[in-house]
Amino acid sequence: MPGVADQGGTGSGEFEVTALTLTRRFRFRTPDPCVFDRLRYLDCRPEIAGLSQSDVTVSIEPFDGRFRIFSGGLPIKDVIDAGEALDFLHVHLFTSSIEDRPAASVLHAACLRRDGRRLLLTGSKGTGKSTLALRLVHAGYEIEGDEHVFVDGATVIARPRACRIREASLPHLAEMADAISQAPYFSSFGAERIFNVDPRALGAPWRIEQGPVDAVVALHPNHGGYSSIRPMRPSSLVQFLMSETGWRNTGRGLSVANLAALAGRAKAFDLSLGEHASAIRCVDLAIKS
Amino acid sequence: MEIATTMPEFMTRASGLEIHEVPDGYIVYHSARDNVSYLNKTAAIIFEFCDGNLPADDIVERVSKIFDLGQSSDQEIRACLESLIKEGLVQASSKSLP
Repeated sequence: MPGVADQGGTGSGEFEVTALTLTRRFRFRTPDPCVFDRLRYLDCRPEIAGLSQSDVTVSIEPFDGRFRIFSGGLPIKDVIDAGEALDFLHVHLFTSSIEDRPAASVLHAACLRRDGRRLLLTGSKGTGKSTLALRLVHAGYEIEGDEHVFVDGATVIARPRACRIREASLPHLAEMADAISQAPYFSSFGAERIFNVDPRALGAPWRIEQGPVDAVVALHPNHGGYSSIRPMRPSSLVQFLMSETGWRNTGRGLSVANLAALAGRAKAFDLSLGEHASAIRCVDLAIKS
Repeated sequence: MEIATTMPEFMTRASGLEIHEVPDGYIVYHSARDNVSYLNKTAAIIFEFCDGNLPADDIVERVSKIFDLGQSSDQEIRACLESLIKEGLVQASSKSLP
């Protein structure tokens, strides 16, 4: 079952959650069931083509009424409870995954494939990118990631991470709601739950592979309205992508080069995202163009 | 002073520019300013003419000729040149490049 890791597989009574980056396989181990339950939110085990990962064992041990986190046997952090352990390891995992591709631009985008063609959906937080991505999965697309892609010249590779779905999005994902609501979740101070959904729990494969992009769809919300799509000029796409790219301290020029190379090769579209049935038809047109 | 203002000013692309061609123009990263400029095809052609060998008047004339434009467009071409200067992509120099 995706999201649930081995329990005491070595007979040690420990729980384990696995999270992959492009170069590392983090094994989060703890004897504490509450910590384990929280850390399931980090579960991430896609198939990654052509890359191998080195093992990194991180253990979270009860210590003096709190928890001490060890990496490679060395203490790296003391935390007061399971929630703080998750917060720390979430950031730790994110930072490690970003370090995997130091020369690449990190673009805020979902990455999907259909019939061997790759599509990026990009747009600001709250645009509906992840919900549309899962609707596309339900319509037969394969998803590689729903949050970040590394842009390296004219090719990309998704940053490994399971799909994150807000509880408020479930009414838009009715056919998948049961499976999603069984996934591990994060909830802070009684706020809505955010589910960590392995695409395989939705019956889709989850394979990440570096390769070119055929179409980029820039999303603009039109919540409650119709969806419509129109071609976008490559230079306008670069301008849009700039606003959705996380800049690194060095090599901004390289990032601009990466985005220009992407825009020079892929077809670009502007999707006004309203209701999903027509949005899916619009995306079908984009990826087939 | 009078002489200086009447001398032709040769247009030269600034140093430290990283120029990327896309199907509808150029994306130019200016490392010293940490700034990105988007040039459409016409602006990209004007930018290309700024090779240090042509004064502004000649560039305006050549671009106008390429696109078969009348004199009425001269002002727009000149405005584009000025905007390239303002963006720091082009500099005016009193001497042509060797």
